[in-house]
Amino acid sequence: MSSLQDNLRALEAFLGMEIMREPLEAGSKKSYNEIFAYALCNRFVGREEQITQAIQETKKCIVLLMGEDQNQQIQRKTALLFSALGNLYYIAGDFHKSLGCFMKSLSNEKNDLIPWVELMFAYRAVGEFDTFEEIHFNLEKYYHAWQKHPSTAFNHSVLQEILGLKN
Amino acid sequence: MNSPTTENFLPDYMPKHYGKEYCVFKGSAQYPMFVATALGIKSVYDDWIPTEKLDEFKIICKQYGLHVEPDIIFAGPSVTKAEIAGSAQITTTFFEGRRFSSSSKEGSIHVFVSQSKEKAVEAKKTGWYPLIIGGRIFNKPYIDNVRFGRLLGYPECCIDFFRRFNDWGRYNHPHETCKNTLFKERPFASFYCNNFLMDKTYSYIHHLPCSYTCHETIQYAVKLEQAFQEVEPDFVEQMHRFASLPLLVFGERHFILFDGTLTKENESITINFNDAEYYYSISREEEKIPWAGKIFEADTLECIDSEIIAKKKSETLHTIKKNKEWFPIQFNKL
Repeated sequence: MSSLQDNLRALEAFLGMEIMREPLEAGSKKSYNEIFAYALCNRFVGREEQITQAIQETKKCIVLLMGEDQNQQIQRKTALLFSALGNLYYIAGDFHKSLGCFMKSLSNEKNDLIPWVELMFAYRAVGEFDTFEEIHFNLEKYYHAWQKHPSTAFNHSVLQEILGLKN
Repeated sequence: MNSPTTENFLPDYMPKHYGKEYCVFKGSAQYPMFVATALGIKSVYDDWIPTEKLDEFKIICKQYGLHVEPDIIFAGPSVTKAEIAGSAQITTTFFEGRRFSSSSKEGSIHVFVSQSKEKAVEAKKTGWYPLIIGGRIFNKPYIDNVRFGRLLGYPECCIDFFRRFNDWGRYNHPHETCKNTLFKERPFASFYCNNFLMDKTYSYIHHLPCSYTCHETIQYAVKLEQAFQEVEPDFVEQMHRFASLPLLVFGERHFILFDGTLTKENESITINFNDAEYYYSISREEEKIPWAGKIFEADTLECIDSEIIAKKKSETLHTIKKNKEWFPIQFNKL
């Protein structure tokens, strides 16, 4: 655990932000917390080598987290790390990898709208405008559909099912 | 789409030679951007078209070799700001988003216009504006501001400055630009860097410059001006008149435009004027300055460090406490 904590602290220092964010639940009147997208952009824009290192360090922490006994706290942290990793890939311009990360974030946290927002913008970035709009205009509907879904692994196939595009 | 401002001080421009169909169709507010794109000086620009007239707009664009890529419909808000989750993220745009289909008729459709379909689609990927959808507003990922700026051809220095200072909660962007302007090196602001009239026809640029003497911005604007000299020389004349008028700036899209002249003496700046118009974004009505109307009664404005004194025939009418971020400015031809 101490190795994990040390790695997380070192990662936060390198990213220049705390890997912390309150979940945004459906129905909440709170604003969307865009700190990951904002802070990571300002930290890494135009710094290609550093962003590659940030991706590697974030992945390392995720692997360490996955080796821990899974509980709600560990899963929440894993969701946040995948969200941060998705944002790093997005800044690096690898939108397909960022899509995968936001899906993994949703796999670890079903009670947060923010990875949905991140996911829909990643779809826009890859030019899947219909998927972007479908999610955006029905955000809370799909949030609830995923909450009720029996699967614990959010992936493209589950998304198609939730969106009603798959029998 | 920026919400309309409140007054109509500046005349619409009607071209004699180039782009007349565009201005007849929707007025001249974005005419310089349309011309820049049609002439290939700008690779893409975005515009807002009455949804029911999209096909008509496509025909006009086709005449100029331009592709139109539709995005989303901007419709008037049916809720108040207080009812929206994330209302603090509303800047100059306060609209509801609606999905577009070929049968859509309401509101205005946001479009990307380019000589190249690929470039228009590429711009669409990052060209999202925060809209009310499902009672919420979401900003696009912050890096998209950088990518969209590049696709629109904005100078890299201005994109970087925007990234650092276009944070409405912390910075007043025009004030930061003013601070970043090397007035000592060039004791005036270049009218090529005047972006204040950018949704009101008379600006060659459509970005927030990093300084009012930004070399990259001037280079771009001069290139566009030279193109206008070829295709629509009368516009250049009008541009010189209106983009050189003095302003009292409060913030982005928030200023008073004067039909007059600005003079500097020691620490005091005086604007003598015949007419004035107050512009503010109706998306940010809460920022409206209640005393702005008082200025219209005057013919002279004296700005010193902490005060603005409105005078008529040398008699003081009003003394107003000056916010440190407000500044008077006049843009000159280099």
